[in-house]
This record gives sequence, C-alpha cells and structure tokens, in this order.
Amino acid sequence: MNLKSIYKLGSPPLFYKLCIVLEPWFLISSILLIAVGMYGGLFVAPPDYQMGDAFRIIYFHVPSAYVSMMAYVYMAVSAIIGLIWRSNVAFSLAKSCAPIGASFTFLALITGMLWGKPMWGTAWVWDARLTSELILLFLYLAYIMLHLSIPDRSKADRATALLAIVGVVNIPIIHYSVVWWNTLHQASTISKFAKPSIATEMLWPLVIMILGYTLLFAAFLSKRTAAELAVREKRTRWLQTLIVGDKNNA
Amino acid sequence: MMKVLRIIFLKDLKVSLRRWSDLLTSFILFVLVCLIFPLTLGNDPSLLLKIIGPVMLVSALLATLLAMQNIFRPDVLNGSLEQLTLNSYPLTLIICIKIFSFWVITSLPLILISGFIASSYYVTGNSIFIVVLTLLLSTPSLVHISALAAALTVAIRYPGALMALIIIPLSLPIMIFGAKAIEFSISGIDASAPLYFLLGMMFFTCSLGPMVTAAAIKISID
Amino acid sequence: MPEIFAMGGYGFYVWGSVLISIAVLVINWITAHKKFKSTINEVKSFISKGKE
Repeated sequence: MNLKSIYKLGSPPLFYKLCIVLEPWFLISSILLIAVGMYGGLFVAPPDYQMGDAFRIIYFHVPSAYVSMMAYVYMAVSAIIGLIWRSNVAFSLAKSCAPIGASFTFLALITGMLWGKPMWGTAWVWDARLTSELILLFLYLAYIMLHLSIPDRSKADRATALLAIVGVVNIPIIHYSVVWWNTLHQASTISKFAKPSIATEMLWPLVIMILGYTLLFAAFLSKRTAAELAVREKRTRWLQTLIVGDKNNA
Repeated sequence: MMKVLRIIFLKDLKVSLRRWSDLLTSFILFVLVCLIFPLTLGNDPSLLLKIIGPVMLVSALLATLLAMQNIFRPDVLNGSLEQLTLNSYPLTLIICIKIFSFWVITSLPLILISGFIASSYYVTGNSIFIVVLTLLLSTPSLVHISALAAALTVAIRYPGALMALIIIPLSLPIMIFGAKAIEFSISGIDASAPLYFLLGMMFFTCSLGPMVTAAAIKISID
Repeated sequence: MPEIFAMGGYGFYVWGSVLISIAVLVINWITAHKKFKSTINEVKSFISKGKE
C-alpha cells in the first residue's frame, strides 16, 4: 500500500464505484455475522452467574456503543482530511457518518437503559460514561443540524468539519471514563493486551457481533456516501455516463 | 501589536456599551432565572442549598448563550470583521481580545452579583467566595465555547437553538464540575479538586478556543 | 420454548433490546436505500432536463 493508492481514493469516480461494488458484500457478510452472533449470544452462551439471562443484552449494547464511537472518529478523521485537502470524497464520508452514528448511539443508550433497569434498578444514572454517551448523541445532532442550516455547501462542510474536530475530545472521555472515575457502569472486559475477564463461550458471540455491526456500519456508510457523492458530482461526465448507462441496461 | 490589541479592546467595549440593552437583557436573565427558583420552590433552605450550584451555572450558561449571539454578527453585517481577517495581524489574537472584551462586559457583572444571589440562597461564609470563584473560573470557558458556536453559526439568520445545541454538549463537563465545586463547599468538603479541573478547562479553552474560532470565522465569512 | 421466551424472568428486557436493535438497523437500511434511490432519480431528472 503506497501513498499513491491512498491519493487515488480521493478521486470521486473511483470512490463512488468502490462504494457501489463493496456495499452488497458488506451487507451480506454483516447480516450473516449478526445472525450467527445473535444465535450464539441468545441461545448458546450460558447464563451469567450474577446477572442471569439479562446479560445477553451485552450482545446488542456493546457493539452499538463501539460503532457509535468509531463512527465519530471516522467522521472527525474525514473532516480533518476534507479540511486539509478540500476533498469532496472526505466531506461526503463525514456527512454520511453522522446520521448512522447518531442512530447507533441512540441504540447504545436504549439497550443500556433496558439493561440497567433490571440490573441496577434504574434505567438511567448520571455517571460519567452514560452522560458522555448522551453528549455524543447531542454532538451528532448538532453536526446534522448545522449541516442543514448553512445553505452554501462548501461552507457547511467546513464549518461542520470544525465542529466534528472540536467534539472529538469527547471520545477519550467516554472510553476512559470507567478508568478515571468510580462509576456505576462496569469497567471494560476486553482489552488489547490482557486476557479478557469474560468466559470464552460468552466472548465469541460478542466478537462476532462487534464485527457484524462494524460491517453493517460500513454497508450503510457506503450507500449514503455514494448517494452524497452523486449529488455533489451530478454535473460531471463520469457520473452522467454511469447513471445513463445504468438506465440503458436496466 | 499591543497597541492594535488595545485599540480593538477599547473599541469593542465602547460598541458593546452602546448596545447596553442587549447586555442588560442577559444580566437580567441571569438574575431572574436565579431568583425564580426560590420563588417557585418555596422557602426550604436545605433544598435551596442543594440546587444553588446547578442553578448558578445553568443561568450563567443561558445568559452567556443569549449575550454571545451578538459577538460577531454586527461586525459581519457591517463588514468590519472581514477587514479584520484580511489585515496582517493574526486573527487568533484579534478574536482572543474580542472574546475577552465580551467576557468583561457580559460575565463580570454576573460574577459580581453572584455573591449576593448566593447569600439569598442561604449560603454563608466561605462558600460565597467559592461560588464567586466557580463562576470566575467557568465563565471564560463558557464564553470561549459560545464564541466558537457563534462563529460557526454567524451566517444563519436565527442561530439561537443551533448555538444551544452546539454549546451544551461541549460545556457539560464545565457545568458538572462547577456544580460539584459549589456542592462540595456547601457541604463542608474541600472544593479544590473540581476547582482545579475548572482552572484546567479554562486554560484549555482559552488557549485553543481563539484559534478554532478564528478558523470558523474564516470559513463562515468568505 | 417458553423458557427461551422468558429468559429467566428478564424476557421483556432482552427481547425488547433485540427487537429495537433490529428495528433501528432496518430503519437505517431503509433510509439509506431511499436516499440513494432518490438521489439517482434526481441526477436522472437533472440529466434529462439538461438534454432538453
């Protein structure tokens, strides 16, 4: 992988075709992985000693929380790349990440609330991790609303890119909040270096679900980015021949 | 360089003082919101002592939000901000001075009156000083974050709700630690930990804020 | 079968999370698909307007 191939990714025709081609693969593989993970998580994994069967919500809560944070980092990195290189591809990526990331954050909060109600007795508590995840949802919403309010597209891109970059300080806060503070939310069970503190039969569906959710996020992202790129590049010849060619074939 | 900054500072002060009705609005909003809680909640001293931290900080946030809508818009409308971006002086420093002058005009009255409002909430002794100190340390950060939100939305006609949506996620840590500082001091615990955090946030936002705000101004103007 | 449904007493919470996760993901897919289709139609109408 040399620098030239990374530069080539910034060309709209190449990226558009990449998105169109990759999206079905992402979708099918993610649906398969999620199906396997769901089966493993809901039926095969043994019930937890302390939490009983309610711990199975982990297979929906952890992947969506993971993807929600990853989506914001993608958005911020695309924003930086777009600001530096003024790239339509990067700005389309950033704009498309926002609604997907917001929905995954909402999902993380809702499944967390459904898990907290039987386990902690309360659906919500104002500790560091939950509050910073809620802040993440508001940051996504602020990004989307700012993009909608500025009529000039390039101005909107750059202003929202600044907002995304400023908000990225929230991600380390969410991630390390269980390390820095004594919160109600439990500490992380999967770490890069240590042996995970969770049993193997419970671990493999979780890893599969995380992979499946990530591929599903990639599928949604490719579809939305292709749509956004098409809108921005509708005056170009390559897009018009691509679309008209499709119409002739369809 | 310092001469230019002093000229900009005094000019902004003069211009803001001419629009004293806007500033008075935000100040009166602060006082009224702080006083509306004891009026509606009744005369229970323990309850009032519990809520004074959050009430003070939320009122300061709302007053700042209201006042900062006017920091860049009149200058954009009459073209002077565009001239400031075009000259050879670094826009970051100019924005820094502008925000500082706005802080002096909008937040200093809040800080001065907060002691009296705190005593009307039955706060006594050293805690009044801690309340004033908390507002003194949190308002610069709030002002810088609001300036960033104002710079991002300067091209929009009615930016109020969008500014609130941008400011609230970014200012939540300041709110939380400020409320904690006041709560600690009222219950007698040493409040220095949250105050140090507020000081750190203040240095962080006051050093990086003008840079990001200047970038946002350059984006929104051209 | 019923014990799977009950999930040791936490059935509502577990199956509720499953249902809402599937619902949100499906809605995400549908909106992405609709957006793609509508932009393709917009580009097509833009092209045909240009040809007139």
